[in-house]
Amino acid sequence: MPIALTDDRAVLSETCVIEEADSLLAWIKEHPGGVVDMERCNHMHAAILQVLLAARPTFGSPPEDAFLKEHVWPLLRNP
Amino acid sequence: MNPLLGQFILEARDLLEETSKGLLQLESNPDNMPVINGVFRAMHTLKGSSGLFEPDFLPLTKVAHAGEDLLDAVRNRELPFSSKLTDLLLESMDLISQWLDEIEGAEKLPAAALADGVQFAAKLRAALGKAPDVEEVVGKGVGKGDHEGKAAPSGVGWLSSMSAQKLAEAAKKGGSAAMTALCYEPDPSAFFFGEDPFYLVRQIPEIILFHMEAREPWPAVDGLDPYQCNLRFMVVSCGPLAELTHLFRYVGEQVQFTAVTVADLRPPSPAPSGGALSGSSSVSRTDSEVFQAILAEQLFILSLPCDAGCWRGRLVSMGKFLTNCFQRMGFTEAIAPLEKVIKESESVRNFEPVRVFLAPMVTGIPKKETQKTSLPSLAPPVSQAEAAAPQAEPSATKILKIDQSRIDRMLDLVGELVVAKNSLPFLASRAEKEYHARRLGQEILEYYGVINQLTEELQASVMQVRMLPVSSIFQRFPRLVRDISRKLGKNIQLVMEGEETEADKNIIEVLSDPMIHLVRNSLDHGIEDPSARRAAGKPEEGQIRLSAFQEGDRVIIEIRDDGKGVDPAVIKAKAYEKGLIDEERVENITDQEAIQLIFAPGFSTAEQISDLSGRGVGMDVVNTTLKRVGGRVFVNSVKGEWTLVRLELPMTMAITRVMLIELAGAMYGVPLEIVVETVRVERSDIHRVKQQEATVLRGRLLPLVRLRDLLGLSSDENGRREEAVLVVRPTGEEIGLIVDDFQKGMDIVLKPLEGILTGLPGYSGGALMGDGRVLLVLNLKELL
Repeated sequence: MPIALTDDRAVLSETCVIEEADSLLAWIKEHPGGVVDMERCNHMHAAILQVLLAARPTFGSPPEDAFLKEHVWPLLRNP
Repeated sequence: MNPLLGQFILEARDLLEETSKGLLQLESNPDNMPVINGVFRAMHTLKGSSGLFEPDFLPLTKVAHAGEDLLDAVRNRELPFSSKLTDLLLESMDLISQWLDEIEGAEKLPAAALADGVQFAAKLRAALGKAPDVEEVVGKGVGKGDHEGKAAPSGVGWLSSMSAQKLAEAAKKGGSAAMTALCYEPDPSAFFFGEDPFYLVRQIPEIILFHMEAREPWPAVDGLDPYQCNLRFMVVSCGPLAELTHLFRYVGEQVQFTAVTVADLRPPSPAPSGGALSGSSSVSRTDSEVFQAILAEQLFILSLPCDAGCWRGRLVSMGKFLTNCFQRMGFTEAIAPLEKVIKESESVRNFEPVRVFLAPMVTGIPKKETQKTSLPSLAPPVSQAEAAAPQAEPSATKILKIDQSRIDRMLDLVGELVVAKNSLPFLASRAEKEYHARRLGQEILEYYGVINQLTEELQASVMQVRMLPVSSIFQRFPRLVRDISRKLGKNIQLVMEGEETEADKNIIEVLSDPMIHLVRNSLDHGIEDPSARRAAGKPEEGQIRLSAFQEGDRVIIEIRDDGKGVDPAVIKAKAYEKGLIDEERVENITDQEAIQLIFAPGFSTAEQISDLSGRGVGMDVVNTTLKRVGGRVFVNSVKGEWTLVRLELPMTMAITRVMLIELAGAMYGVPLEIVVETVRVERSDIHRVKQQEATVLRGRLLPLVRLRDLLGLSSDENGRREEAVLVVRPTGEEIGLIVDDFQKGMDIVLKPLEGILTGLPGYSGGALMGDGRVLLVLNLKELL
């Protein structure tokens, strides 16, 4: 699903593809206080993962997806 | 041809080029890791691309694969780099290159290819000390499939940098099961290959430890390129090794597998030994690690260059920070000495005291180099610049690959535009004279001015596009020099400078053969063999230097060797023998002039036509080739010491101004730059002096030549009372050309003659005129 970008949230849901990486990065740059919501994200392309690791935005609730929750979430929060 | 195949051939040639270049670099610099990696990657890519065309190109894939494995061993330091290795690899490049030629023509490999390929691959593998094709067993595409996990300590290095907590959890989950630690570093261009490394990692079975980090420190958000993969995944899995290697089979060389046991998951023992620190028991192990890391970092910071205005601030803030750290760790007894050291640093104005104080406390060796800083300097922060440099990569200049014929077409159009615009002034004049429309005439001239300006700029742009750097010729020489010098048993170093100097592509193309001949000359006849050189008191290693640079609107290329030079006496003798000069000349010719005789037609001595510099390409051909494009060649030498050949060429095949002349009903062009004047001479003023016609022009004798005769055209039937004489100065002396009539001057784009007309003497090229006719431009230097 395409990442839904609003004024205060970027919502990642289901699978997020590589093409979204650019717009997500741009959004994070322009919305320093914005929250990245990964709750319903099942998988994201490594490029998007990269953007999140590098840009360190504020995150919302933890993802429900098991893999992301167990392995990725802690690293996103405390790199 | 299928466009995919066409693309493959182009890219494969590029990869071969890259590999060869890299291999030659490695010969002199075997430890250059980036180059080794580059060469490895090129081989890997070649193997992969060739694999798309299986089963047809299987032999190519096999050879590339073997080459890749060989290079892999080199970069893992399992195999030392050697000249023999280079030979082997270069040979395989040549074989592949031949195959590419074959593919280009026939779209398939020659029949012998499979046998040759298998044999070659075996040869390459033999160098590895392995039996041929053992990797076939492990499965194609698994780069490092022979991973029977080495339990070498370095393999688990990264494990020890994991937090104690993580390790403990992993140990708990893993229990006594067999585990594999893997470190996956995707290629930075992985995304462009359509890979999603994260997806791959997610499929790892039975993960007990998962970590990911950035390979290079993340740039600031503004400079971040999300499409360059900068991730490193470190995972410990209890899954079967076979499954893991199968999962990563397509990126085999990017993953390192190491078998580990639960023992390896024990966190490393806590750090501080020695030094004035005795930890308080309330400090946890993780804290110790962090503290160590902090100390190491401070030490590193101390070594960074610092602005004059900053150093005190750095000192003070570091002092405060360390004090707090010491307090937190319970090392209260270290605080007072720290304060003392800070004060000391302040008074001597350098960080030495603090550094000396801190250094023993840091047990690990900091990963980054600590340079000694003496005084706080105003030098720009070098290490930071170096760290910043790799990130400048993503925004490289964009390059387009363009078909040459498209540029040629553009040039043609520009040429026609140039010619077409020239009619406007005539139109303006007609408007005024014939139609009495003066204002209209003036306006036309105004617009002509604008169009003229734009056309000139357009022309300059297109000429610029056609500019190629001379490196396109130079790049073949390292290999050539290497191969031939080894064949001849000579020790020769090649130095190249100014390769980025540019000239029009036609000029560059013309230069290619002459330069090869000249370099081969130096290799063959110039540089002596090592014993002769020793006897002459010269260093055993001879040097050939290729230099290219710009001088005004000319490009100069110099080929210099420190060989045995040219012996004027020998040249004189040979020239006399061949009847090129007479006795009188032998007497009064200077050494300098004598050396130039090597360019005389018919001079090439028998000894020069060896199998290397043979093929009928003599010095005289070099000379004529250069003249044909408006260039010149000179040679200078000191016998026994050095020889220098200097090529001078125009930088561009610019738009030439020519004077049109009429001869026997046809039009020819004469470059305006050699035209002195046009004059009509009465028949009666033309006299015969010996065999030659001449006239007197303003008190000087002007020899005359009938151009019709010179070009082999029929003689003029109509007796004229007045001859049209074009006075030209092609080489220093004035001469009058008798023509039928003069026409106007014209701008043309001179193109060299092609096809069956190539090499036709007397013509420097042709041009397409505005009305579609072809104009032949005379090369009077050659004709006269």
